[in-house]
Amino acid sequence: MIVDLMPTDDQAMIADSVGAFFADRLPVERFRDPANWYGAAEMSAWSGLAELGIFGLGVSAERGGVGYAVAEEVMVASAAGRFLISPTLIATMIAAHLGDAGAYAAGTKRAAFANPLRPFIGANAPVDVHLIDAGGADALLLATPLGAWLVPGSAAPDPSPVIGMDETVGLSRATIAPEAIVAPASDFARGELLLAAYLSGLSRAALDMAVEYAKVREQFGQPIGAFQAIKHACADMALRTKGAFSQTCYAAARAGTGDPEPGEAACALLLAGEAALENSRANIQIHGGMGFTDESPAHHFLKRAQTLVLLGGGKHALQRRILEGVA
Amino acid sequence: MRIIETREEAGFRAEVREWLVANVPREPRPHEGLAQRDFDCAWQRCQYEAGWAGISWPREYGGRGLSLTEQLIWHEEYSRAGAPPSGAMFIGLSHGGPTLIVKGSDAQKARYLPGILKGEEVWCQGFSEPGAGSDLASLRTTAEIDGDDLVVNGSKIWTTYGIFADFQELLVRTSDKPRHKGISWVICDMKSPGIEIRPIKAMSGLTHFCQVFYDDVRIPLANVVGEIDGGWGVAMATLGFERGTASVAHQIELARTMDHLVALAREIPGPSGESVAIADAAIAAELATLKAEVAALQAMTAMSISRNMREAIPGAEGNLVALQFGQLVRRIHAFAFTLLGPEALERGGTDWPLQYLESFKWGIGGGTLEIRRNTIGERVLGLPKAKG
Repeated sequence: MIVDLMPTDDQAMIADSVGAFFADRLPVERFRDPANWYGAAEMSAWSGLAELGIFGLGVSAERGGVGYAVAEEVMVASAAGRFLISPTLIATMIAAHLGDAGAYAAGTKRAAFANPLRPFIGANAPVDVHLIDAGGADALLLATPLGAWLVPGSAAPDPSPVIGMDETVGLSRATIAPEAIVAPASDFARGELLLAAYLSGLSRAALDMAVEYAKVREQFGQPIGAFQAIKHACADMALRTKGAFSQTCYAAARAGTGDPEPGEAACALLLAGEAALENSRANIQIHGGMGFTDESPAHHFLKRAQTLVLLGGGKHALQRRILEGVA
Repeated sequence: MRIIETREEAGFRAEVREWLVANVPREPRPHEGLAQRDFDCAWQRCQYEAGWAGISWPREYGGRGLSLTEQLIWHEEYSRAGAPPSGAMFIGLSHGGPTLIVKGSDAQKARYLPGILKGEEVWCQGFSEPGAGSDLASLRTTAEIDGDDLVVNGSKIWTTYGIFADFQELLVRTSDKPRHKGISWVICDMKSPGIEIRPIKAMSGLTHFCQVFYDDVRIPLANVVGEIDGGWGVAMATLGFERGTASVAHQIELARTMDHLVALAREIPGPSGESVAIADAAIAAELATLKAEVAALQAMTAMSISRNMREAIPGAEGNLVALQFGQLVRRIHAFAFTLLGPEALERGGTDWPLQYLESFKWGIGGGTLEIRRNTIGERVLGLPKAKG
């Protein structure tokens, strides 16, 4: 099967317009003001995001969406990763396929991720979860290796806020009652692809930040990027980003054909998670002392990557899923 | 990103698959020597006679004149069918031939392209020298103009299939201009007087390559491809083709090796001695990661080819694919060694020990992993060169 992995004209246009919106309204510098944390800046921009068509992008027109496919959604999720947009945006994009499409697409309903605190083995007991930027969310997307469930926000009453390692996301603990998890689970393939795209975008942003710094920071009379120790680290970052994003695009292009090979999306998410973690670590290292400060935004990429790689079961669950696909 | 295979292309694929299933040689390919060269030439001839040689090469020189898409389909199906590597034909098919198509004169194309496609003439490479490896532009093999000839003196190394080759793509220094400004790309007849060839045994025990010595070797000026002193640009085009669609075949082969490794892990006992190896969590995790990396390698190539379909000349981005391949092929074979345990120490049984040793060549030949990282840093990311 021959696939063209370069963006189509429509896909490039979507990436450009969404990227421009994020750069204008939600630049990474927004984190300097704690008033913008916990997805607050995104909430203020929510109607604008809805007007761009982000939330119903892959939903059919009959159901109130724009009628594109997961490939176009991947372009949005990748841009979201570059700007560390609240994960609630990804959760809402997925929720539009599982629930009240029209309301999510219009921006009047919003979903947030619920991530089980222990390995999820089934919905016959209360499930303790972390909620991510869920304040005021209408629904929760319970993402597990066994599938995804969309449950009402009321299914996890009285969440207790905790202080997250990633201080820019609002993290709370809650318990979802088993009776809330009634509908059959949908598979999490779309979630895997959108998270893979987000983490690929995040790894790209960390790469770009490292390369820009390596070009201007001078030591020993020349830019540090001229030294192979730094240059090679940047080349490895570029390779990780390229591998993860290419696999994400490949899996997304094939997802629409009805015969994707099992594990393709899981491969993308495994690679994107590693790329996001490794690139954000390398970016801190290349920034030296500045990279270790709170003032530099480098740490935000690492913290967000650490938070998101846990969704859908995490690395070891993904590795199991990849091998299950092999006859 | 979208599926672009048309109904016609799918038909072409089915046709290719059917022919390959019926015609791929069943006898094993000899590991080295003249027997291997003859095997490779005969298989190329068989493809040519059935009309499958040079899918995207011009019709007037014996090719099919089809697009890059059909060429890609051919490579995919070729590897899937377990067809043998192009071997002795590789430089002609993937280096010299494509270079002549874009940079050669009409006379050069007419003389050399059909011989490659018919499996009649074997090509080899003459780029690296004992003193010019990663720093290729420092090469010192000289060629002085004398009448209608160039007179060549010096030495080339790592010339794969050199002892069996008919022609060589040869980089020589034709003027005193500094480094890459004084280099020419010429076609050298390997039967010319003054050429001496010494085979080099590799760490795997195989003797694929040689060192070639030139003592007043006369090459007609008509054999210069492109301009005198303009060979660096021609050579860069050559190396771009090396990373083009032909690399797809190597990758699909690697994907099959990976599948064999997973199958092996389902058969042989694991470290506990009580269950198969794949039931061990650490082994399963490594297999899954390697499998994902193979998938990414293939996706990256698809991304590069998608770009090439719009931009025609392969760019520096191909180094990302080559870096991934060079690292991954070593990781996979090293893991196979761990998995097999003492069995892996016995040569002659399975192919794993030989392939493990051979895997080291991929991160050295055609550009070391370190040079590829430099190129990615400077030409893809725009980082500065180090001050000399």
